Amino acid sequence: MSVVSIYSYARLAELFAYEKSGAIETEDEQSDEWLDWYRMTPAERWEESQKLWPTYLALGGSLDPEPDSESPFDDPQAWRESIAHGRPGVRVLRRGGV
Amino acid sequence: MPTQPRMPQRRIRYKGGAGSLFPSEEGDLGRMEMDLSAIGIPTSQNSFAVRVEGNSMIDAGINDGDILLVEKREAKSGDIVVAAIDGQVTIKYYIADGDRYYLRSANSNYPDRELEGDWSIRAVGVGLIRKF
Repeated sequence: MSVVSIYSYARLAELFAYEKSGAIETEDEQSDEWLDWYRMTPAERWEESQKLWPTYLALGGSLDPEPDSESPFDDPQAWRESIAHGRPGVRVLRRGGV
Repeated sequence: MPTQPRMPQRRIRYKGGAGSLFPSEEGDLGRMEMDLSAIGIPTSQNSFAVRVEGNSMIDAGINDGDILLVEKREAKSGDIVVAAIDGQVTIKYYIADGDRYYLRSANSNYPDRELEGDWSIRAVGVGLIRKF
């Protein structure tokens, strides 16, 4: 499914003026950054992409699966790590009542 | 912080002002969600739509109020394009004749307009939607 934005002439004229003024800078797929990426072998690209995982975890991401409350094996009483257990970048700001 | 991968990032950078992340923002006339590939119209992040104003393309079957689907890409002579000329937006045929360039209406009441000065071709028409 595609989502396509619809514009009036007047709005397009505004946006084109912004682009022309440099307020919006669109990506250049011929940039050195992209050419370097395409020069790599598939295995090298895979290796590079795997470096995203430590970044994701360092920013507080989790590899734990989301609990499936509809699974017959789900135990709502089971202990699960939550944001209160100290993943970096995530803090409980307030405990108790307001 | 872990080592950053040597991966390019797909991005449209916005450098201030009251602009937008064109064309990924919501258009001033809204958004439509549809499977255009099913009717042979490929879409990409560079696709958007324009509500047609006027009757200059009526002989091409493009009427006032129609929604023209377009894609930001390089135009070739004969394409129906969205052009910006002197700060105005228009939809016309793009004609390249040697080193001269024109916008041509699909309506005999309008003469060709030679492209001079401040102009650019911003998108190429790929499909049309009409409300009856």
